[in-house]
Amino acid sequence: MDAQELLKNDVQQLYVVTAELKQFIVDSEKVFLDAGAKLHSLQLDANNLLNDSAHAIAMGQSGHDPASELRVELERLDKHLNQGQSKTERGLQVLAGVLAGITNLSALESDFQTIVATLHALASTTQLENSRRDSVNAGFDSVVTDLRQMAADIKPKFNEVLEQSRDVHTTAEAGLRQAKTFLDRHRRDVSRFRRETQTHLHAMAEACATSSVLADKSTQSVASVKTSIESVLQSLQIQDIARQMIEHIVQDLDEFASGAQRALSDKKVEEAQSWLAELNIVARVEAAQAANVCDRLLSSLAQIDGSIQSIVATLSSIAKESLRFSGKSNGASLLRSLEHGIRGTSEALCAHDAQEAAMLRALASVSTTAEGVEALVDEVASFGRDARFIGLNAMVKAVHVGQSGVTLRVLAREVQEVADQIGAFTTAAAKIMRSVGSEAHMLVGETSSALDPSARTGAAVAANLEALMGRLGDYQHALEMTVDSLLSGSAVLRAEVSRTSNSLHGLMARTKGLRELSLRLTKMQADALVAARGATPPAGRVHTDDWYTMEDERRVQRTALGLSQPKGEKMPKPADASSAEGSVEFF
Amino acid sequence: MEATTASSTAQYLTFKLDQELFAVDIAKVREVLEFTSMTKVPRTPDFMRGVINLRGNVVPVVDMRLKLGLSITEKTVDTCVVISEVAVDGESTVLGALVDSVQEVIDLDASNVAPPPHMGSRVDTAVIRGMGKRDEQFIMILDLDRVFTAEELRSSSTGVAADVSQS
Repeated sequence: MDAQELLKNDVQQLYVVTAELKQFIVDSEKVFLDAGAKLHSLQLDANNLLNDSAHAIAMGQSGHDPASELRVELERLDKHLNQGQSKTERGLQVLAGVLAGITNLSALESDFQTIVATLHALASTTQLENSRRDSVNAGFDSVVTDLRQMAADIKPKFNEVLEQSRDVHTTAEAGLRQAKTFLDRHRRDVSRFRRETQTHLHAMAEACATSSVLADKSTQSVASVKTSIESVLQSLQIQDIARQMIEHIVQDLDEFASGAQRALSDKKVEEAQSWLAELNIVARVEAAQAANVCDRLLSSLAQIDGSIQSIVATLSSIAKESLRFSGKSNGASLLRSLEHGIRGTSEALCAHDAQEAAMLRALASVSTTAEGVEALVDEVASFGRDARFIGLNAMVKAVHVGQSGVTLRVLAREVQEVADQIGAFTTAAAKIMRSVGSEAHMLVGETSSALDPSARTGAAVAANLEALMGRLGDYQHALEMTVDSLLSGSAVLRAEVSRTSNSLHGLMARTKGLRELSLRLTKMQADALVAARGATPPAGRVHTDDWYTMEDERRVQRTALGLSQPKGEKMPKPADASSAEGSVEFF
Repeated sequence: MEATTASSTAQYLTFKLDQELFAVDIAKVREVLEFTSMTKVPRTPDFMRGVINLRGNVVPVVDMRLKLGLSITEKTVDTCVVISEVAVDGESTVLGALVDSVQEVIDLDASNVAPPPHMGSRVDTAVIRGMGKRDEQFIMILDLDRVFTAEELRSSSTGVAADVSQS
């Protein structure tokens, strides 16, 4: 191959190298732009995580402290249960009193039968006595009529009292059974609720602690992510500078290739050789610069990759804690088990309330029935007052009659005694029924208005527990969404970074190939010139990979080849090469 | 004072006014009624609580508590009207005496009836016929004829008659 062919070959290779460098710029530009976009997305996700963490902290700790809320609710529940127990025990006492009262009332039945018989007897006796007297005693007819009327009226009333009393007795017995059943269940429930309460409180305390740790980690992670992103952004700036430098190198190479090509076209072999010789000098320096740039870019990418890996590790840790907290991955999580436990307690509370309400309805029924009997007893009591008036007026009449009315006075006294008996009977019955009614009424009143306003019903506590779980669920959902977003975002980013890194490694290899090409070209040129002119190339300088300054290289080459500077053509100046070398040092 | 010196046993109807036990001679009593309703009569003294219909007859009812200087009688289940005959200027007048409660008809021997005290009683002693003693308890025996002055009765009867005729 002659010198011209060699030159053509060199120029072709120069075009290839230039094209590779151009492609390198395009590729690296694309890779770094993609990385920048992904990092921007990661930064947004990190900010979202920070916001979500702040929201979670505010929701979970400052605004609504779920542990404190749960404790308050469970304390209310405890009060409610205590009151329920005392009410039920009192209800049992009341019902026992009601049953005893009704039994006592039934025992009065024989007394009452005696009263009615006495009224009839007195009426008959008075009538008999009246018939023995003269017309002066005619006023006693009304006494007889009144007594008989009273005996006739009072009997059905009393029977009604007895019948309703039996109803009260039946209702009270049913209420008593219900209250006893409820009390048994209540004692079991109280034991269960108190045990569950402790479990829930422990679980909630653990959940809150985990939540707090999670929130702290999120905050720290966001700070870490921000730092990493700043570092990555700095690397991107370096990449931008590196890209500019490579563009400069390509421009130089283009210029040399064009000059050499032009000289070859004009058959100016020496000039073309001069261009290529100069190129050899510049290519060596610029190949070194390109390699250095690639090294720096690889280093930046490695730094980016490290930061991303650190971010992903932090996010994975958060995600792991979050999943344990939220229970997305398994059923035994803190929130899930707490939610399950609280739901169970709520349902049991509602069932407990329903039982209690049924028992209290039974007591209210006793109260209502007892009130009916009480009204009847009041009616019977009015008979006692009437009998008293009959007796008093009979006595007044007997006194007015004088001595002949002595027997009638005795009868009148007996009527008064019967009136007293009726009075005593009705007083006793009324006392029993009023006691029964007032006890039952008071119990119902106590039930409808809680003794302690801070003690809520089981249903109210259950509703509050449900609301609390709803808020925890919202918190959990927000956390899961954020963690999902972060994990998927960081995975995509990491894949992109890995791809970019691989691409840069390829470019690095190609850059090294460029350098080797440059060295091979120099050797070929030097050998060709030595053969043509008998000049001796500078020993140990050209064939070595050691770096030296561009000025040294230019001096050695000029001396060895004896070439002059081409006229009228723009040539790369040593000062430019020095500044390019200085740019490398800038990195 | 007179009459309390009688040696025989007499019958009295006892009743209560403001927790105090009073009695009137049963001969003055016609009958005892449960206090139900009453018709108020305007332009009559405060102690005249109104009139009742007693088997077609209009009978004025006097609040004994007010008449004796005590507070007004409140209606209870025990409140009664004692229908009595009062002699004024030799003329018999039927009146209802409103009392807190009627107790019983008792026999009191004259030896158990002391003259009324001159001082220390809560009521005007002029209307007290004597002080009965029974089971260590004092009973103020009222002279119904003196409880109402003739003038009071006339004004009451006049007012009642006038209002009844107007109605």
